[in-house]
Amino acid sequence: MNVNASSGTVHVVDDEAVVRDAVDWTLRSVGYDVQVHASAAEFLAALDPRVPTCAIVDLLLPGMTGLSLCRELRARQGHCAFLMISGHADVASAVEAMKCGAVDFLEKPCGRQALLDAVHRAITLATRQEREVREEEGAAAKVRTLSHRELEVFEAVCKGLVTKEIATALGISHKTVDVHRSKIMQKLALESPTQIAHLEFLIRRRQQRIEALATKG
Amino acid sequence: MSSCRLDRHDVRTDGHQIVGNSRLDHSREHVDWEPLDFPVALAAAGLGVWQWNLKTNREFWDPTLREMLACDRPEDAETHSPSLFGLLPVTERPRFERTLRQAAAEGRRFEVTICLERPAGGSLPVHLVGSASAVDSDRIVAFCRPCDEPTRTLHVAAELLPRKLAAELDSEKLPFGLFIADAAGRYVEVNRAACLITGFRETELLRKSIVDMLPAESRDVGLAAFQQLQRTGAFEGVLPFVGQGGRRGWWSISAVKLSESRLAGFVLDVTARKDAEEALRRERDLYFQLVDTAPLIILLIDMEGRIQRFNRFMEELTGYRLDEVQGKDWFTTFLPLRDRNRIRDLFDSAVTGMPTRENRNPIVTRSGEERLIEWSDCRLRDDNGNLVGLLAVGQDVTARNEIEQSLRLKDNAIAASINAIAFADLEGLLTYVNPAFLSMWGYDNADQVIGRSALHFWEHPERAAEVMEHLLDGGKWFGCMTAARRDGTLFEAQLSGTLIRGSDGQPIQMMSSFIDVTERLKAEEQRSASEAKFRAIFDAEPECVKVLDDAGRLLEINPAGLAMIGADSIDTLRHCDLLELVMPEYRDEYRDGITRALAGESVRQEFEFMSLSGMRRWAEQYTVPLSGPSGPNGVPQILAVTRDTTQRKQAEFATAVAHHRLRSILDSLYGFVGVYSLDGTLVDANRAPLEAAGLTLDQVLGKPFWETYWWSYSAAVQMKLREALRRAAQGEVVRYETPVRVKGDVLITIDVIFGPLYDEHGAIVNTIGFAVDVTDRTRAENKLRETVDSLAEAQRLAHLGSWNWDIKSDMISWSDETFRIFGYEPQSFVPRYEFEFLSAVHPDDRSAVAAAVNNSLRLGGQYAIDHRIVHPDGSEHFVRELGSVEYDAEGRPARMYGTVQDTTASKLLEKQMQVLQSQLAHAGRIATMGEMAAGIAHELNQPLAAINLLAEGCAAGVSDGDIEEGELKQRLGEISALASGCGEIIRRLRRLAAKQKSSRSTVDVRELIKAVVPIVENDARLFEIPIVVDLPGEPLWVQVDAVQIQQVLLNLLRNAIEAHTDYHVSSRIEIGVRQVGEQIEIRVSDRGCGIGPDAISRIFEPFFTTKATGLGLGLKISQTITQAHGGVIRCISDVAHGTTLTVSLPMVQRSA
Repeated sequence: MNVNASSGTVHVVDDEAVVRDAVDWTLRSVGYDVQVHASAAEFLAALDPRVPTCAIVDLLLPGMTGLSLCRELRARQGHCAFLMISGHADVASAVEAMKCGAVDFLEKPCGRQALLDAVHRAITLATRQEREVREEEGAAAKVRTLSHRELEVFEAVCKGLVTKEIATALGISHKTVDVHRSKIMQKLALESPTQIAHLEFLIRRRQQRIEALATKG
Repeated sequence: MSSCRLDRHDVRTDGHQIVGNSRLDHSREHVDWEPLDFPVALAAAGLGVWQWNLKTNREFWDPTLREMLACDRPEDAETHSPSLFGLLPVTERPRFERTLRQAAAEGRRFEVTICLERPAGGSLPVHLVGSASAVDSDRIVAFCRPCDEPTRTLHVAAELLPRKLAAELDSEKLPFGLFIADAAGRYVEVNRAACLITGFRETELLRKSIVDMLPAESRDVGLAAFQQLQRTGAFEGVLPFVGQGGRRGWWSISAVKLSESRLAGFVLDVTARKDAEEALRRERDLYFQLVDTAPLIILLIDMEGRIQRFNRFMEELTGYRLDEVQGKDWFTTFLPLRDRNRIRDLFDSAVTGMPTRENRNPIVTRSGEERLIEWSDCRLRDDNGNLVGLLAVGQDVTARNEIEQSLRLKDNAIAASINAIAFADLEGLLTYVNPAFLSMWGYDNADQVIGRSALHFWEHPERAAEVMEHLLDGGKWFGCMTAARRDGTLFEAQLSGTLIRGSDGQPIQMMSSFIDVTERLKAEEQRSASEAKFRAIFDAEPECVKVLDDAGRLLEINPAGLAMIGADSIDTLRHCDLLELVMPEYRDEYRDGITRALAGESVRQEFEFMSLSGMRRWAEQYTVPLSGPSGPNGVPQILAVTRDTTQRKQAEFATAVAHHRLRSILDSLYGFVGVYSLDGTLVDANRAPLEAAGLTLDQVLGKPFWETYWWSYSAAVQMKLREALRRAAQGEVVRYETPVRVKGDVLITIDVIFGPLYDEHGAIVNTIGFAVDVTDRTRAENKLRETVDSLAEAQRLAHLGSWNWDIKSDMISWSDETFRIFGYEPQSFVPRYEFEFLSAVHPDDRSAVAAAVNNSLRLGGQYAIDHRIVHPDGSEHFVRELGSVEYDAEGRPARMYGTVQDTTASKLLEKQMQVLQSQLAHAGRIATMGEMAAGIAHELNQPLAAINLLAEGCAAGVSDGDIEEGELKQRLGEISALASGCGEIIRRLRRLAAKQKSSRSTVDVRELIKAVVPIVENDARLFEIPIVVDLPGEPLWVQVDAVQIQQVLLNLLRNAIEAHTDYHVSSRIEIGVRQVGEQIEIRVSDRGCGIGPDAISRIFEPFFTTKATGLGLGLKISQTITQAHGGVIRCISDVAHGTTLTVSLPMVQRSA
């Protein structure tokens, strides 16, 4: 990995000072901003869920275990992608960790490159997720500005109906439909009908994400 | 022969006759076709009839055939017979003819398809079925139909018609019935077979119609069939019918419409087949029901391993529906990945007929759970014997397997138990014994005892029977009984029996465990005997013996002492300072003596005291510190032996008075008393012995004693006497037995003793000699010796020797057995204390033995000591030695006597016991090793992770050139420190796992706890239970085997973690230590599920457990270890608050 390519904040949560320090040094040497924590509580206090980060979490922590921490993190819906690390790994814990949404499960001792790769993957994932969510929420916010009737027309357009069909479906004149359409384009700051498709894609993706969270949660 | 009444009114009269053979015409009356409607039927069915005479080559065509082949021209019919051969291509004709002739010769049917060339042009493929006529084997009869039409009717006709030609249509032997009915379905003609099938007579049947034959419930089906026949002209099918007397049956019907008013049908009775089918179906339904309700897996897979079918139980067990997986591969669907290939191989060999041994394997359910199934299978074959698949019946044995495993575990534990364990059924017959039982009773293998009554193993079977009855009454039994080994020897066994009940509460069998307690009982007996002996000595001791505490207060005193003081009982005196009794002028000296004794000296003093009754008395007191176990709380005690010397003192005063009486007494003594000058000259003697020797005083006085009449007979005797007198003059007391001469030259044996006489300044002024005639005694002694010999024999058997040490002469007499115990030939020499005895004692024990002997000599009383001796051959032996001292008249030790017993055998047993115990502890440790390994791995992986990252980081830094030398050095230093940390962890593990001998050292309890807690901390974290350690600031020292005590603590902590089955906020484990009096108390508390009141009394029983996977040995081992350290383990628990276990160990002071 290129030293210059690494950026972002990495949290290290481990009660073993020797491991904490070694991971800290390793990640700093390639350019990450590192924060170390000896317990889950310490880490949760310091975490800003809005910023995309990566956390390296030890499975066995005093007080709250790593798995409990992972569940807590997922419940908070932040942009923190986390890796589990353990010196006492068994298959059951690893499966449980992945179910909780861990990006990777590293076994102590793990190699430097394996650690760096995993951190890179996690940061990339967190950043991408953060960006996607931002886009989706932006789109949703725009759509929320539409009036009830405009929303109906918008949904019909998204379904691929032409003006005439929309007019029939909604029981209004096609002229009124055209007025709504231009208002929608204006409110959503859209320039071409293809952009509607993209917007609709974002809205649908947001919907899927929320549903997925609901079923998993 | 036909008796059919034939209705002729509707017959089509074509005028054709089957007249091809004159012989036929003659032999049969009704050979023509006219009387029957068959030609009509055949025409309706589109069949032509062809006949050919093999001999004449003549053919006969019926009108239908003519029509079919477009040859039906009147001129042809008149002028020449049409020829089928003629219509065949010339090349085909020979083959066709060959077929016909062959069929006729073999009496078979033939069936050919030939392509005819019609005279009118065009070709026509036709199907020809026929055979030789049944009545005229020279004639072939065949039916012909164009190929593009169905051929079934053709076959029916082919079967039927040759027979009809034989006029056998009406025979009851005909396998099918035949009827002809009118358009309304009324029968107009039936044959005999039809009557047989229906059971009606012909006349009855002819009054019925087709509809009458249908059962009510099938009337619709029957009518539909009838209508179909009317409409389409043909019907084939199976229908029910009602026969005579309402009998139900089934027939298969082939019917054709001959004309608008005539129907003809062939019927075949298929009732039996139908019934069989019905029964078969019912059986199949029942079978399927069975398959679906059986609590077994029933599975059918084909040769490729695809699932064909399984039953509902399988669906319920696995969560898959049959239709989901039908046709899928069995192995990939249901077997865990690890087993797939192996089981598939097994399957392959099973279907190829190889025997398979394995019949248990797990399957995976939809939810991912594994169930263990035990299979039995058989191969399925089709009718031809080809393999089509495998039928397997499986039983879910998951639960059974778990139970079996846990049973196996317990079995092993029982088998490995040191205690003998036996199970018996309710009849008292043994069903199981473990190896310890066999060795305890001296059997070689279990077969020798299984099935025998448990009563056989005891000295008193009736007593054992009582115990058994007690058990059967539902009680437990605990106690000792005398057991009889196989060879008849007896031993004491401690028995703990209990009745085992099944899950329904009914007794199933009895269980007992046994411990051989012979040695223990013996030891107890000996101890109580020696205690009693001591007590007896103490009580019977004529001197006053007292035990005082460190302040000089009285703790114990014997009756002689009480008498001396003048008290009635000790009660009033206990804890009093006896100083008050001492006369004031002696008190300082007395107090000083006590102080010196406390400091470890032994003190002798003499003082005057006032008894409680007010009498002044003299006392001589020996005061020594008690060397044995100190009293309660370790306070030193002292022993004081006080002799009343009042009489001696008084005697000293009285001596002078008594002296003049002495002479007259001596003179009348029968024994000889002589006084000699220091050179051995007799200066005085009493009179009586002189007279016995026939001498006068003048004859012996003034002469050297050895020259007197008594001795002058032997120079050797004289020499010995001179020497004795010389030694006596130097202060020794010499005593020996010797023969002397008396009157009449007779020799008698005398016991003679010479000793010095002192003046009041202690200087020797004379020697004195006494002699007594012991001739009679010697004789008695010989008798006695015989008694002694038998005593020696007894000693030899008991490995018990006796000894007698004459201190003054330093000669020890050993019994024969004593010689043997010391490894010598009996009476091979006269041992002495220092040279033979002490040097035989093991060098390490020598000083202890000498101290015990000296102590006893100084203080009197008995001593007992266990020590080792070394035989001349160098071997080591254990002995127990008891000794007592006897004093002479002056109160000086004169001799010691006692016994010595070889205890090597029991010592060896004791040692073996210790080895076993330490092995048991090791086993327990190993059992916990697996759990600890995970913890150690975790601990080890931490530094390894850091090392890995640091080392690779350094390497990357060096190769990229962006690491400073200072940092590099620092990181490498860290790596090396971490690596040595790893080494320390491994050393710790090895120490814990090492099979160490029990070795005790003085350790700080806090260190033990600190070492143990990290091992279980990982487990505790997994359950999120905090461990709170509470240790005092000061070290607390105990003398223990650190590894064993750590194992106890590990057990307790692990139990505490497992007690927290449910996490709740208050979950925590506390471990603490404190000092309580002279004890160190380690406390482990949890807030877990607690132990119920019924279970708490049993927690220290071996194999008692409340955990699903527990062995039930942890607390037992812990208790054994704790008790071996002189400690106690206690448990307090209730279900509401959790459990506290306390281990108390004796505290020691840290040695310098």
